Amino acid sequence: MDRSLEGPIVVTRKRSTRRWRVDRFLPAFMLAPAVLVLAALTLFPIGYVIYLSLTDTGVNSPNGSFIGLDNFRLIKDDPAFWDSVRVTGLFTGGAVLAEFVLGFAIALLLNGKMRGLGLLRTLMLLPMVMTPVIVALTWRMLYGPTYGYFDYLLSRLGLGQPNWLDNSRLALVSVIAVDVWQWTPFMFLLLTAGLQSMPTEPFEAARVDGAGRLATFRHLTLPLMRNIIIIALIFRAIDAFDTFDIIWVLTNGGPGTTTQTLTIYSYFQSFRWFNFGYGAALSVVMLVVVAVFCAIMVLLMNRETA
Amino acid sequence: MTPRHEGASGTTGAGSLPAPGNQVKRAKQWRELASAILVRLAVVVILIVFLFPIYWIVSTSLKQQNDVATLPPHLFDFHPTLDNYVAVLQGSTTFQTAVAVPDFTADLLHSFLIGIASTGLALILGTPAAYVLARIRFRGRALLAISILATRILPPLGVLVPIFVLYSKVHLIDTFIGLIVLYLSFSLSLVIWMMRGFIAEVPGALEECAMIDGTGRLGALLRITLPLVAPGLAATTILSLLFNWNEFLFAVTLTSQTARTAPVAASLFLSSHAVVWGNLSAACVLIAGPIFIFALMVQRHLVRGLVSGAVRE
Repeated sequence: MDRSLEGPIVVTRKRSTRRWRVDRFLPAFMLAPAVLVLAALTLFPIGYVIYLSLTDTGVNSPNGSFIGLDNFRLIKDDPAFWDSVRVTGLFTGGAVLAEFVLGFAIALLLNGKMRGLGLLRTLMLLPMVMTPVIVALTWRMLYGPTYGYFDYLLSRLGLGQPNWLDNSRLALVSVIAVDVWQWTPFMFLLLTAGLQSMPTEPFEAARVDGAGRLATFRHLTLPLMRNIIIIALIFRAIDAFDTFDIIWVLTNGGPGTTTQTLTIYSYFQSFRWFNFGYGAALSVVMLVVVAVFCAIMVLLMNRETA
Repeated sequence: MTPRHEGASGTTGAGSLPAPGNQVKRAKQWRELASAILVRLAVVVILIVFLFPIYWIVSTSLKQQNDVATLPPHLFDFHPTLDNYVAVLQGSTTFQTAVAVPDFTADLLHSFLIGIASTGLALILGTPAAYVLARIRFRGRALLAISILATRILPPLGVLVPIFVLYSKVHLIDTFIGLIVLYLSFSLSLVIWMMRGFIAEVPGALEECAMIDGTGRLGALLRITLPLVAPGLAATTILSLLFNWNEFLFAVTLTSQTARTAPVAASLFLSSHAVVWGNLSAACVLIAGPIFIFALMVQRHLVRGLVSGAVRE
């Protein structure tokens, strides 16, 4: 090899070639571990839960034998399942709707410059970061039959003790109220962020044109907030649909089955009665429901951008 | 209510005198004053509603047993004591129960260790991946990002049932590893989505400058971008710790003693025959207290974290 060729230029090129190689493969090396771990930890359970849902795995059959779609046929004729669907619908719908209306109302009410507003927003964070189990324990005390604060307030007003959590007609409402307490701040903060990121010009134009408050809200605020409203509603709906901790600690699904959501029912099937096959089939149903939620979100958001 | 409510700033007619013929203006002033008062009143009501339960649990934790069960409840007039905290931390809780919580301190420690370990792993694995997803263009990038986000919205029971069956077979029930691995999968997608957003906010031109000056992409990432996203990294870390700390469903199903976390221990107080609410409240405050402090540190990023970076504040 001609030594005279080994000038600085060649060296630079060599180095840059090596760097080019490193830079070319570096992204794959950076991406692969995370993606592999995540894939293993999600694809495996999904695959396995679908497999389990096709078996009769349970106390009587620890290794489970393949029974096709029998579990799903059982689900179709299971009154407890349909009852839990109804409870889930009431819980999710009631909680998310109340949170949205309250959160939006507070966000609109406080959407301006006022001293101490920053502090208020900070304090509003506290319920939603509080450990859900602790939230539920706190509210159990407040709902308590003898020394609970709500009963005390009602007794001062001369009203009876309603048995917040033991009354089959009231329990679901009491549980929803706890969820509303914890998550209205989320709606408030998210929608406040949305309100503040809106452009001001259209509102000035509307004021000049003499548009009323209601008209401005309907024709400007709502359309401009559309995407953030969709995100807020869907994320909260999925979360409420999955709610476990609060119901578990407050009522354990009771009294009777009046607060037994799909999540709680599925948990009982798997971990109280150890019908893993049936429980897995219920989980698959829930998986499909959440997938539908997400599809709705994507469709709604795409329609807006189109 | 208009979206641009002026609150109490009283801009219109603030300096105008109540001259004759100014009745319209005066009426408007009155209306604004009234609405300012109403808004403040609403703020007070909102604060009471959202803070009262927190005050209730904190005050109960500071009460002696004979101040807890009283009618009318002693909201403010009680002699504060730290007895409940001492009892809970020393494991000398006074309730009679079959399922005792002898070592709440250990459970707090478990929560802490599991949270730190899974968050640490998630940061090490997730930050580089977030960088690639934010910076490098490749086919299927959007699809990959969405798939990672989608893992966050899997119904927990859909994961829990197969994991439980698997863990029973490989003896991972009630182990630290078992819970850390699971929490890692939750934290990882959070880290990737949060950090992807933060990294995308750093102009790529900065890195290109560094690369022209002779460092590789890795050098540019380590020396330029990472220091710039340090606040975001801190926020992501805290959010991940917070979510792991609060988790209950997996912890209550997959642990019993060795790796029991603090929220599970707190829920066990209920299974006693006579719940000692003072002790339980102290346990609750010990669990929620650190979370409050953490949350205040990252309040700007909290909502963003809760929707997995789907919106920016």
